[in-house]
Amino acid sequence: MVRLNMLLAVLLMIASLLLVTSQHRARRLNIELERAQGQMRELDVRFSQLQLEISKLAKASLVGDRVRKELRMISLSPERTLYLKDKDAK
Amino acid sequence: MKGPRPVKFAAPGLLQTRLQLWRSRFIFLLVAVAFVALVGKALVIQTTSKPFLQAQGAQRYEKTVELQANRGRILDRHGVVLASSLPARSIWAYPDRVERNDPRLLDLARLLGMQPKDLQAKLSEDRGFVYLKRQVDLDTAERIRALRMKGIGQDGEYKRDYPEGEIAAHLVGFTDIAHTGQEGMELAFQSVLAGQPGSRRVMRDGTGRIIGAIDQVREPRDGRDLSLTIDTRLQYQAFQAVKAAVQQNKAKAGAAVVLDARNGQILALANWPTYNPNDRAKLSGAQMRNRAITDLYEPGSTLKPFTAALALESGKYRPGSLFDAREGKMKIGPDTIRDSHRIKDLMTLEQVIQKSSNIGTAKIALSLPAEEHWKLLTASGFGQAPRVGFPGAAAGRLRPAKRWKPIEQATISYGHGISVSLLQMAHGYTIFAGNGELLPLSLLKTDDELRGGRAMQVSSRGRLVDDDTVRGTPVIRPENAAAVRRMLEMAAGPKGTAPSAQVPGYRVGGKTGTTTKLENGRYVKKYVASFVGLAPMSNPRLVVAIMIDEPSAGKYYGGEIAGPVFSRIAGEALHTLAVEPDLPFETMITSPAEQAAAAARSGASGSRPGVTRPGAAPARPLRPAGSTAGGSRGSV
Repeated sequence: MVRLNMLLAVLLMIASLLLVTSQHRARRLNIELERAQGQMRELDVRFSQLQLEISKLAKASLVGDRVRKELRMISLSPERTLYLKDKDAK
Repeated sequence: MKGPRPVKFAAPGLLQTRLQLWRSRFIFLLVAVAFVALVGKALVIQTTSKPFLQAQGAQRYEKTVELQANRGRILDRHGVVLASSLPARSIWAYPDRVERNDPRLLDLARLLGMQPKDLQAKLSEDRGFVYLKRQVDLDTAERIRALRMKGIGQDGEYKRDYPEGEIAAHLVGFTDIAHTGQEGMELAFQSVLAGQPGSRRVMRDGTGRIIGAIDQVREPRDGRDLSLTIDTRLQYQAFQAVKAAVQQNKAKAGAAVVLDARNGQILALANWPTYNPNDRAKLSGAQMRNRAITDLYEPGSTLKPFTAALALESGKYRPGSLFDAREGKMKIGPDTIRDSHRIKDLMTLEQVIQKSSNIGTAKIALSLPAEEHWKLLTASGFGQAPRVGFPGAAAGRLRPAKRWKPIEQATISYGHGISVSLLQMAHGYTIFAGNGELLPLSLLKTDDELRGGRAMQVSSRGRLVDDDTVRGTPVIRPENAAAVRRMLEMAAGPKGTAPSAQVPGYRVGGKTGTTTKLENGRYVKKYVASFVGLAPMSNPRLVVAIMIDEPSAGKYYGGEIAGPVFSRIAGEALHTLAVEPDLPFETMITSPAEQAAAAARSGASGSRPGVTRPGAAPARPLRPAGSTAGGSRGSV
């Protein structure tokens, strides 16, 4: 009887230790997940930041100014344009 | 010598004294009672105090995390970002915890872009908590965090960025510090753009790391993106043109509207003066007004084409019907109306519009029922706020026909005694652009977005299928619309009031307007110069309306001031949209194929199939054969 009790007690101890370690592992994985999700949000933000930057750098006013000043281009006018007609168009 | 006398401790008597029995029983009882008390307490804790204690426990490991939702972006028709939200930080301080002679305070002031003494002043405020600066960008915030100063902290928030800045400020509007729309589209579509923040409950460990989710309280929902019909390229061109015209003519303000003549979409809506929505520290009401939509003015002669349309619709007049305005003035009751330029001959109806004769239009109006006149103007959108979902769109003033006196009917025929917004004016002109239908205005690419359907995505090439399926409400007969178009083309022609509106390579038409402003019920010597026109006339693609408020550099006629602005905006817009010219013009370039052919045959270069040169003039090659088309300089 005493032996059985001892055995059960040992089993109980082992089971509880396992429970604690698995819980610990679950928590660590969760922390990992949270970090990855945080990273995802950060990258999302970075993405929209870059998109915004594209819009800022490509905006008509900026491009227009630089092209006029630095490349000394001029506005298009019909007499300088060759109009091609799409043969497939009706 | 005697040794110490041995003591026998174990001597009977001392230790053998028997304890009284009650003492041990008393202790036993005491311990027993204590145990009972413990059991009782445990019972109480387990039953009655249980909820309270569990809540307390949860408080120590549970945390509700706010999940931010992004505000939707505002895009133009090609997906160019007009407004977008980025995370930012607000920097705050607990003034009593900040060390006042910390040398790092200088660094902090520099990073915040504040004067050190202003920072000190903020920290001296008698408050437990102060915001030092809000919406600081993340890089700066990280540098501030690296200073590791006591009593200084930061919170996450969002900052709205407007890359187009002042160019589209009135249209896009802006949000306040709490990210709520305050003006323009930001205000009008607040509910669509705004996201729904969510939250969830999590478990965290002693160091604050999240170790597990308990439950999701509310899923965050990002705001939807809004795609406008605006084309940023045209918006920029219109803005530049208005700005230049206002500055050149020392005017108070100016506005321009560009509509797609085929479907009523608003392609550009520019205002001057304007403001930078990214920096709204010093804003005045004059800067913020979206004049094209909210400001009313008397349209003047730009309303005359509607009178001409009325004349044709009535069946009483034809484009060639004659009118006599040779006297230069006309008495209506006690009042006299005049023409600004004396006209010496009889005029046809077409010439009435071309020469912009007040007397001519007044004679038409007085010969027709006021009710019909009112109906036509109402059907053309006057007197009602245009339905574009824009906040503060003005309805204008058009009194019911029953209350018109004859003089009123006469003045309304040439645009006085009625008030309109520039957008209404452009909208009204859509009846002349096509088959006589008033096209519905739109500022959003699809209504779909608003109904919560699929968000419209622009294809990767940024191309849009032009929506030709839009049907308007018929107002005038197609042949009458075409007749008015001819009059408008004459008005913008060499003998009209606005030859300055012409665009090289394109047939254009339009009507000028010059009105004096009403102040306290009296006309004063302040002018509004305007122009509303169509281009190209062979198949109208654009409606452009321009208004310049109080030009004060000597000139004030619509033809002199607003005409050139039309020419510039329409010309640039037609090129940007790659509309084929419908007027012969002298071309400076030839295609390589033609050049080769010309070289071979030495003379008489004919058109090659597939290559159209609307120009009737002979081509003069700029470069030797073999070079690609284009001048010595590039073009934008």
